[in-house]
Amino acid sequence: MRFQRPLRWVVILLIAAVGILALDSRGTLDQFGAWVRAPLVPLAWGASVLTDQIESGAANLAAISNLITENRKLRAENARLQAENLRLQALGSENAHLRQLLGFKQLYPKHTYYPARIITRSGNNIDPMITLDAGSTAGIKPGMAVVDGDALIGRVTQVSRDAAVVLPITNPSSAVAAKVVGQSAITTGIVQEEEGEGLLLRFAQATAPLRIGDWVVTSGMGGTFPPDLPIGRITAIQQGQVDVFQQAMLRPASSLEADTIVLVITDFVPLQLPAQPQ
Amino acid sequence: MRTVGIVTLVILVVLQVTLLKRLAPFEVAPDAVLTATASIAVIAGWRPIVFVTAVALGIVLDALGGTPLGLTSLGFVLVVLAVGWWREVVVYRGIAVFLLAAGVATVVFDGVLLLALLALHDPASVTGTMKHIVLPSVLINAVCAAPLSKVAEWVCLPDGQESIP
Repeated sequence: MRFQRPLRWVVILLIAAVGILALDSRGTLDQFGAWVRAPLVPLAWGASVLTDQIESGAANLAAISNLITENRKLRAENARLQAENLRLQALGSENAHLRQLLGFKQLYPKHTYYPARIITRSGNNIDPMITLDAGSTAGIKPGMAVVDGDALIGRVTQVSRDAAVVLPITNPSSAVAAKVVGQSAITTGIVQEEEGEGLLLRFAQATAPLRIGDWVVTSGMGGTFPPDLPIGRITAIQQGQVDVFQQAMLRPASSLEADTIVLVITDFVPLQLPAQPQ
Repeated sequence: MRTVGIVTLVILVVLQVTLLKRLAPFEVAPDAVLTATASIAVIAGWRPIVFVTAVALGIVLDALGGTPLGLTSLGFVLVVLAVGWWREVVVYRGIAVFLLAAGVATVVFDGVLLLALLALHDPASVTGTMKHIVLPSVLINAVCAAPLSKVAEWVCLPDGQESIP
C-alpha cells in the first residue's frame, strides 16, 4: 500500500514534534534552542542590516522615479543629490530614532536601559515574537521589560548568550496589568491582543468613567512590568447594559513594526511568586 | 536533494524572519519557508527526507524566530502529509498545483498555530484571525508559490542529476 509506507515516519516525526514542544514549554530545551540559534544569529544580523538598506532604498524609489521625465543633466545631478539625500535620510532617521529613545530615557530616568537591535521577527503571522541582538553577556535576563522611544513593547522570555527573545504585547498570549491615567479614581484592567480587534483593555469596572483618548499605562500589579510605562490610548469603549466589566480598544503607542532599535529595562526584576502547594 | 539546496533553505529561513517580515505587504508577510516546504512535498511526495526536512526547517525557524520549539515542525509535518499525496494521485504537474498546494498548506499550518494558541493561551478570535491573517496569507503565499516552486524543483534535484528519480 503506497499510503502506508511513510506512516511510520509520520508517526515518529509527529511524536517528536509534540515531544519537543512539550519539553520546550517546560524550558528543558532552552539550551538546545540557543545552540541551534547561535550560528545563525550573525547571518540574521547581516540580513537585518541589509533589510534596513533595502527599506531605505524602497522608501525613496517613488521619489527617484519622478526624475525620469527630466533631462539627462538634471537627472544625473538629481541622482547624485538623491544618493546624498538617501544617506542623509538614513542618518536622519536613525538620529531621530535614537533621539526618541534618549527622550524616553530622560522621561523615565529611574530605570537603566540597554539598547538592542531587532534582528528577527517570528516566522509566522499568528504568534508574533521578536529577537534582539543582545543576550546574557549584555546582562539581559528573562522577564525584563522592553520599550521603544514611545511605549512598552513587551518582555524578554528567553535569553541565550548573544540573543534574547521578546514576547510583544501584540501577541495574543501576552497580558499586561494596566491602569487608566487622568481619572480621579484608579481604573485597572488587563491589556491583551485580540486578533482582528487589536489591543483591548479588559476587565475595567463597568462604573469607571473611561473616555476616548485616555492614556493606558502599566499598573505594576503582579510585579511583571514596572509601573507607569505607556501602552496606548483608548480609541473606543465597549460595554453591555448588564456587564460587570467594560472593555476598551487601544491604539498602541509603540511602533514595533517600524522599530529597529529598542531599549531593555535592565534594573527591573520581575516578582517571583512562590509556587502553589500541590 | 542537493547538498547546496539545504543551505538555500536555511538562507530562506533567515530571510523569512528578517527581510520578509519587515517588507510585509498588507501587514501579512509571505510564509516563504512554508510555501517552499509545500512545493517540495508536491514534487517529492511522502518521502522520509521530505518529512525530516520539514521538521528540521521548523526547528530552525522556531529557534531563530522565537516561537515555541517544535510548533512549526508539527505544522510542517501535517502540511507535508496534507499536500504530499498529490504527487501520487494528481497527474497534472502545472503551476496551478503549486498555487493550490500553497493555499492548502497555509490553511493547515495557520490552523495548527491557531489551535495551539487556543490550547495554550487565552482565547484568540477565530473569525478575526481567518479574515485578517489566514485569508490574506493564502493569497500572498499562492502568489509566492510561482517562484518558490522553481526553487523547490531545483532544491529537490539530487546532486549531478537532471530529474527526480
